[in-house]
Amino acid sequence: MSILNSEDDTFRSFLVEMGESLQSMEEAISELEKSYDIQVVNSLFRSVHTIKGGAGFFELEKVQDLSHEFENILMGIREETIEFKNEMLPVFYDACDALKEMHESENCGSELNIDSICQGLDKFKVTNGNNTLLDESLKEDIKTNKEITPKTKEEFSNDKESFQEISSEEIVSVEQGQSRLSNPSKEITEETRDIIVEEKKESRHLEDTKKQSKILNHNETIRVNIDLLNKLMELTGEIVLGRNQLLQQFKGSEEKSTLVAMAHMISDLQQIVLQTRMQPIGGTFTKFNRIVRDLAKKLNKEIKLIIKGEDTELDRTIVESLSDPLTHLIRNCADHGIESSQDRLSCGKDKVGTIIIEARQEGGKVVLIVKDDGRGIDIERIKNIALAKQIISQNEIDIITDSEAAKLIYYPGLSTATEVTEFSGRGVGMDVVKSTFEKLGGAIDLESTKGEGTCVTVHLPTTLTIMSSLIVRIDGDRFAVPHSELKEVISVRPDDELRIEKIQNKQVYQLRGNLIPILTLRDITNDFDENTQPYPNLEGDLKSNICKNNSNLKTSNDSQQLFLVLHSGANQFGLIIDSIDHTEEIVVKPLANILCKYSYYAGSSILGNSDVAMVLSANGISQNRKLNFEKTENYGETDNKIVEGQLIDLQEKQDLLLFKYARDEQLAVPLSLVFKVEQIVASDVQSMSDSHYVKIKDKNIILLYLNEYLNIKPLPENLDSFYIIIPKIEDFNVGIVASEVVDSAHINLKMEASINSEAVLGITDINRQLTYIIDLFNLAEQVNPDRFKTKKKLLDPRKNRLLVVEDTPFFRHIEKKYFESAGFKVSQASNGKEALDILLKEPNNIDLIVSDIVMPIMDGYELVSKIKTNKSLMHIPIYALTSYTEKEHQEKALAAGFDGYSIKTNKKNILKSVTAHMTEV
Amino acid sequence: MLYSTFYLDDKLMGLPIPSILEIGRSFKIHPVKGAPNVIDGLINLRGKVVTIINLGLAFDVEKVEPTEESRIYILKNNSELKKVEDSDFVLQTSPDNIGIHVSRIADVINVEKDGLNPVPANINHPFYKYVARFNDEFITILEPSNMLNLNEQ
Repeated sequence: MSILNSEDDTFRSFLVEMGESLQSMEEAISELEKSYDIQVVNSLFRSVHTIKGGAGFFELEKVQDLSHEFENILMGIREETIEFKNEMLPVFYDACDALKEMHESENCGSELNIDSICQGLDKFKVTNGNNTLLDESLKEDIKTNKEITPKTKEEFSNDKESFQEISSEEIVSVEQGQSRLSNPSKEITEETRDIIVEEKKESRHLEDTKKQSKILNHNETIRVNIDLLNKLMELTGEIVLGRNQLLQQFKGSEEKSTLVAMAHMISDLQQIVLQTRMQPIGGTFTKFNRIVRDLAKKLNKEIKLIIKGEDTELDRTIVESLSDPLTHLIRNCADHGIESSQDRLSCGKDKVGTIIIEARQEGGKVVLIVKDDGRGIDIERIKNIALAKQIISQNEIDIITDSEAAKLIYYPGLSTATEVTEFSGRGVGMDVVKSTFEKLGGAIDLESTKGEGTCVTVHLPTTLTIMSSLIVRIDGDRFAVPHSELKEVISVRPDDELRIEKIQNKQVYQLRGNLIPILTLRDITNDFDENTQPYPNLEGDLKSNICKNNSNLKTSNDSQQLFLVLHSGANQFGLIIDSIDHTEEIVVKPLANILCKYSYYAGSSILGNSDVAMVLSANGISQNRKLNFEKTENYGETDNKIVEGQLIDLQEKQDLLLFKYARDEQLAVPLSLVFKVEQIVASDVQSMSDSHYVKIKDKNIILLYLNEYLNIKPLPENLDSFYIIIPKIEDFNVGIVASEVVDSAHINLKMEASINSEAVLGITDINRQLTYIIDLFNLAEQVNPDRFKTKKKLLDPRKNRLLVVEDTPFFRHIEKKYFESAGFKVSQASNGKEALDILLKEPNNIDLIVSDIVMPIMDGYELVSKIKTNKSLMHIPIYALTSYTEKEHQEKALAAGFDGYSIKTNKKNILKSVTAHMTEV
Repeated sequence: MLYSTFYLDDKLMGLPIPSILEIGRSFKIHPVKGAPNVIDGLINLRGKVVTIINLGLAFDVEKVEPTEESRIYILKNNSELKKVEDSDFVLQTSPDNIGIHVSRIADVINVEKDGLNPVPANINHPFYKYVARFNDEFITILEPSNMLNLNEQ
């Protein structure tokens, strides 16, 4: 009599629970692979135990048997009667796999053969002294003849007398360490054993979930049917719309305090409901550990997987669909990308290949990155294979660019694998990956450098439904543009310097160095497809209806023009609009099937005033075949947001704020040290003896005139208004006066040696103009010598050799200067690996290390762990020096092994803590 | 089986009542720029966005204009159709609710199964499903699914 009725609710929930247990088991085994931890063993044990219990209840024999064997071993390890060995792990994985198979099969694998696995597990059982002691006592206690009635554990332990009579065969099997008793009260006997175990081993308690184990999130959770959650989301969406309508209705009214209060509560409600749908992506990531491990083994390569950003949250429905395409990408990296250890060594690379999978939030999107340091994409091979498969023609081969060629991998059927392995090579992968991501509303980008590696970046929207948007008017109709796709709004007046210009009859605009295309809605709808036949597949007496609903679309004229700068991934373009209405939170409703091929619309939405507005999709617009974005990728240096997702290492580039003091001299300060820039009217300046002040938001800021500190020309006379730059340095509340703020620049900073001025870090050429880079720290010192003076402590000459590890050349330079002025002898390294090389070469040459955390190749955390585990290096104190100001980062750094932590902008503190340490030592 | 009939110019057509969600008038139709003319636009049906097809343009005759007499038939979507209890009634419309803009509404008629004739070969049109005879008139019963799915590729 089996309760294996899959309609049964309890059984179904058992299956769900078993699935969860299996997942946490895999995670646990994978943790054990990295390092042994008794907590992990405990959690593994609990999962197996849960499965076994449930299986027993539903009489799933095979599941029960296997989990029982598994549980025994784990029990032994917990109690230290069996010693944990790494060779157990593959068997554990096998057991886990077998259980998974049973979980997924129709009748829970009742015909599955688990003997070999059981034997494998059996082998690890060592009956040492402790074990037999246990069995002896069990034997003894069991020998008494009493009936067992199900009792509570307390009653049981008080009354050890009451055990069921057991025949001799059963006792024998107990002696052999197998408690496979053939009487129906299996469960109870198990409990008996448990109790006796507890009694015998008083010191060992069942360690509880109360201890924080990293892998297991035994948070308080409840299982809720996903339909219910979906309905909750929908209703919340409707409430948001209703609220918007109410706010519209009561716009002019005076008495709307209740409504406003409710409006806030509804916003909160919306946030929280959204969170029910959000799930950290980490769950999907952990199984990649196992996949990479298996792949590495099977392909005979050495591959390491680094996972970052597991806490990033995504809508649940998206997370589930990510697993397959990500798996495919990782398989590609392992199979096609990473070379064999020999090949890698011969290229000068590390023997172990690295695959990095990372998730992070950016704006309204989540960015997923899969990158490897393998051999990169061989463009030539791709072109040749595409030619052979007639995907492109011979002419096209010669004219397409490398990045266009790289996109050929998205064609179904194209694969450069010479043989079809079980992992890849059939050529069906990348097109499915691309369409999966696009179906989710995302965009995929690919970068590859031959010999160095490949990087695939995917941008995904975080929520599919409620979006904050800008409502605009184009030709009389209203459209909604999600804020996450909107970069900025630009108004061009006829007398502006920068105008919308035309190249070959198409409009463009120069946006901070980049020429971006300017589109109109007519362009977009026209370009989409020129021969729309509403019913192309139907025969019969139908005339085609080509005339599109493009009435009233104006063409541009010469008066003021307003356009939105939209972005999709790394692509930008402008969209001309008539006017902006307002901002609204909208619920994006997907388009009906009929309309969904018009991908420049993300959907439609009902506005607060009950009108229906189309929601534009920057992704959809940029995928228009007539727009060719690849050529614009590497154009010039622009601001940071555009270079996201590119493999180009940003370490050599620095953000600077360019400004002018005297009319024709350009100065710069690092943007990261700028707190604010304010525009000041000359009449706001108040003077007190020699100092000048200006009041910003009730704070008096003292003005700093640069020509008093360096040899530059003075400010132009009679300036009505000017700017002040407020630096982000503690205890340095000044406003550095500037006549004009020019721009921000993101450039390679190659400074020439400083001129004779302490306040100047160096001179360089920016945009063909000679620019002084101001040393804000030095200025601070000059302004407030008492606060900032660093005493030149006489450091022990044997202990003053300091290694600065910092990837940004700018900060490295500053730190070097600073520490040298404090009396240290400074050497430099630009990343963890370089530092390690220096240290390993001569471990006794460095007394102290000051390191950044965020660095390429090897970051601070890795560096500190390598140092602290290396016998010859662990004595060297290492300090973290970073731009993160949150406490959690400090704690993380200290937990990682750093001896201390300082923030880059707090210069005083750095030196204080570092030298304090020195005098201790 | 009950059918609701309506006029397209002077031609009488019908749709089975169980497939209709509601018949309404004076909806504010918002045109969709870039969509073919046969799509009148979108309406806000108590919080739901419904796409409206212009019957006239679908048949490639004169466009149906919004007048006092014109009506919009909102058809049930596939999941709503599943709940229709008549097991003989098998109709697929589309996964979303679609509306059809007609020029004039006529009576509701009752036609038995044997009153439904297949469409004669010389009037073959993908949108016609049956021809019914009622009170000396011919009424073409429509097959909405072809109309509602524009580009099957």
